[in-house]
Amino acid sequence: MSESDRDRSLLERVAAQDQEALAELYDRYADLLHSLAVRILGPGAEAEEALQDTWLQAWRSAPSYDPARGAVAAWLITIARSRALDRARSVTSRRRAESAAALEAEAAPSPSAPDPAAGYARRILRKSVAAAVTALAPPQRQVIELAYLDGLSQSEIATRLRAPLGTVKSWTRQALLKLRERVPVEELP
Amino acid sequence: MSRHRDEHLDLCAAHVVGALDEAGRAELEAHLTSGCEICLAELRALSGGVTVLALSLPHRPAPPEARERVLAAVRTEAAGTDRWGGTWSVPPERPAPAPQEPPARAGEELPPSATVVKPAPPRPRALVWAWAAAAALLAVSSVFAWRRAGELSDLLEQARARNDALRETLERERGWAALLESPDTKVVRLAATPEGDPALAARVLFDPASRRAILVAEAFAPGAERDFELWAITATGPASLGLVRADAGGRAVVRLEDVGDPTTLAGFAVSLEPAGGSPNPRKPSGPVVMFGPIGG
Repeated sequence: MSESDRDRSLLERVAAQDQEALAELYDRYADLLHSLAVRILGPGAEAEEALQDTWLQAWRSAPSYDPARGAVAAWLITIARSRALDRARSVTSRRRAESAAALEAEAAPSPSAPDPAAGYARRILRKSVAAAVTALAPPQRQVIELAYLDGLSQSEIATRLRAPLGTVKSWTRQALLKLRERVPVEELP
Repeated sequence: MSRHRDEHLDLCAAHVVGALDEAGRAELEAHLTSGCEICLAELRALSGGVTVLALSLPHRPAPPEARERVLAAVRTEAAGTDRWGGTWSVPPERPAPAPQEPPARAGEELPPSATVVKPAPPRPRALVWAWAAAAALLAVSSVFAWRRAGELSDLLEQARARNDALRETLERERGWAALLESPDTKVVRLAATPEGDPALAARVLFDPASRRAILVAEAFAPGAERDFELWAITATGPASLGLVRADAGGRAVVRLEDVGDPTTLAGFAVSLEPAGGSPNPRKPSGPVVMFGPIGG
C-alpha cells in the first residue's frame, strides 16, 4: 500500500469517527502542519492553536474529502494553511512582528526526536524538495509564497510585484507544476 | 458539462494556493461539479506542488504535549460536546468530607493536629494549647521538610540522569545529522535488478569522510523465511553490511557505522537471502535484487 493509499484509508476511517485513525494521521502529519503554522504565525501558542484548529476541522470535514482533487496530505496542508492565516489575520501586527523576530532568533532547527525512521526518510525528501523550491525562478517562487504563505490575493500580488495580473496567474501555475515535476511522484505523501 | 477552457487551469492554480476570489471560486466549483477530468487531474498535480512547498519549509516539530491536547479536543468533539464544555453536567453535590478531628477530650479545646502530641500533665489551659500547637507545627513541618528534601533530591537525581542520557543521545544524533547535512554526502540510489521486485525502493546516504552511511528502504517485504541483506561492493568483491529488516509497512532505516574504505567502494547492493542472511559474509547466496553504483 502506498503512502497516499494508506492516508486515504486512514481518512476514510476518520470520516467514520475513528479516533485512532485520526491519531495515526496526526503522527504522520503533525510536524509538517506545525512547520507550516510556524512559518505563517511564528513559533508559539498561536501556531499550536492553529494546529489544534486544523485537526478539529479535519475531524469534522473528513466526510467531504474528495480524492479526485488531491492527496490527503495536500488536503491537510490546505486546512492548516487556512486556519493559520485566519489566526494571522486576527493577531495584531505587534505580535506578528514579535513572532517573526522569535522565528529569526530560532534559526537553528530544533533537534528531532531520536531515530524516527520516517523522520529520516522525510529529511532526505526535504533535501530534494528544498532543491526544487530553490530551482524556481525568483518571481515564480515569490508568487506562490505570497499567495500561499502570506495569504495575498492574485491582484495584491500583481500590485506588489508590479506585474500584470495575467502574468501572476501563469507564474502561479508554472511554479506549482515545476515543483511537482521536480519531486518524483512516488516520493510525495 | 461546462466546456473546458484554458482559463480554468489558471483558476485551478489560484484555487490551490488559496488566492481565488469569490467569483472565481464559484465559476471553478460549477465547472468541477460538472465533472471536468482535465481540471480534476490539474488540481491533483497542482496540489502536489503545494505539498512540495510545505515540505520545503524549515522543520518545526509539533510540541509533544500538543498531541494529547489535540486528541482530547477531538474526543470532546466526538462526544458531542463543544470545546468549552457546554454540555458538561454539574457533578451531584456531595457533602464535604468532615475534617478528621480527634475526639475532643472534655474540658480541652485541642486543635486537630494536636493529636501528635502525647498527653501532658495538666497545665494551665492557654499554655497547653500554645505548646501543643507549636509542637504539632514543628512535628508536621519537619516531616514535610524531610519528605520534601527527599523528594527533591530524588527528582534532582532523576533529572541529572535524564539530562546525561539526553546529552548522549543528542551527541549521537548530531553525528548522524551531520551526515545528512554534509555537502560531501553522496546519495546512492539503488535500482531493482531484473531479479528484483520493481516496487523495491532504496537509497544510501554515504559520507566518505566518516565512512558512515544510512540506508532508507521502502517496499521491503522479503516474504516468509527470507531476509534482505545489504552489501558494499568493493574492488575486492562484496562485503556484507548486515540484514535489512523493515517494519510492517515495508520501511527500513539502517544506520551503518562503517561501510569500508571509500577509495575502493564501488556501490551498494541488496540480495534476497534465506532467513538470517548469506552464510558467507563475502558472497551473497541468493539473487541480487537491487544495485546502485556510487556516482551513478
